[in-house]
Amino acid sequence: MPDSVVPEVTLAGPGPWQRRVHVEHVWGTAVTFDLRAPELPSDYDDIISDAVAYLHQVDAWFSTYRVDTPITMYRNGLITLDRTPLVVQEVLAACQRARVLTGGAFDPWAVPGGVDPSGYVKGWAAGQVALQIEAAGIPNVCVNASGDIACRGEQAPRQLWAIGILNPYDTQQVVQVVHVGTGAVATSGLYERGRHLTNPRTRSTAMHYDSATVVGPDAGLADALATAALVEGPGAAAWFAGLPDWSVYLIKDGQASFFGPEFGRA
Amino acid sequence: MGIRVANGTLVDVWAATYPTGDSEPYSEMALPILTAQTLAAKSAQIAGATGASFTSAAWKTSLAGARAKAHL
Repeated sequence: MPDSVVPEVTLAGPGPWQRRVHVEHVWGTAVTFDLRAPELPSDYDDIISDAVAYLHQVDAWFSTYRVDTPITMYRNGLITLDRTPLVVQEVLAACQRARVLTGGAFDPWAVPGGVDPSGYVKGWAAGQVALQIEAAGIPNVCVNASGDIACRGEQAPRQLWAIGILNPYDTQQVVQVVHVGTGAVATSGLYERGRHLTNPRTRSTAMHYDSATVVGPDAGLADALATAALVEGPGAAAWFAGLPDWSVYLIKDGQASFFGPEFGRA
Repeated sequence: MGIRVANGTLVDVWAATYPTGDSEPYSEMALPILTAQTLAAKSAQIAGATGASFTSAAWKTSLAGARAKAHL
């Protein structure tokens, strides 16, 4: 593309609907709620407060940086799994399913220091918060947990949420747009914050892709699959043979490759 | 092995190896075939952006942060 052409990225507005945005700095990153409705409920502030409280509760359950969380106590052998909150057990069970699905390319048990479900939790939490906001009476919501996105409803009347996939070589640019109603989008990349990714199967720190985006119905699994695809490479396609609703967008050496209904599966 | 052609050029192909193992839940299912394209920035109207995760500080200068702030 010639230097003179600067692609413009603009906001997809709410149309005739009302829109509110809240940004919460938590987990060392930023989580954005984008809420839209013909008329936002009057207890909007309470709904946001509850959602923010949930984000901090997730930290209190799952932070591996804090000594007082159930996950840290379990990692340190201070409590057994059955003494952890049910939600911790459920998340670890979901991680185990993702581990099996990816043939071990996603493996929270392969990290030093004991199980670390962080590669699943951020996406999962975005999905939980979106669900909570919807249940509280705002049917159209997009939660963006630093690239792990969970949407419900639509961005404007009869318009699915339009989510841009960022260029890993220039994150001011968008290289592809996906459209989701109630669903999730997750991206993992080499430029990822503070993550020292390793392929749990091969122990290699070499990443196959520069960026891997996964689109599907489940935000936690999308997070896990994006991370796993990044390290695994083309073999990741096999994981999706039984997941016809899912789409994948991979970037390597300036090339994009993709499959799935979001990108017009053959 | 799958091959795909787009815009007259050969694009991707990846070896369609089925998962190995005794339990073979995928064996009846078609493996996805990749299509490839040269990456290019595009003009877009979006409600949100997805990329690798970033720090709270980095978010403030990011496209996502700029968007959110501009339309609060």
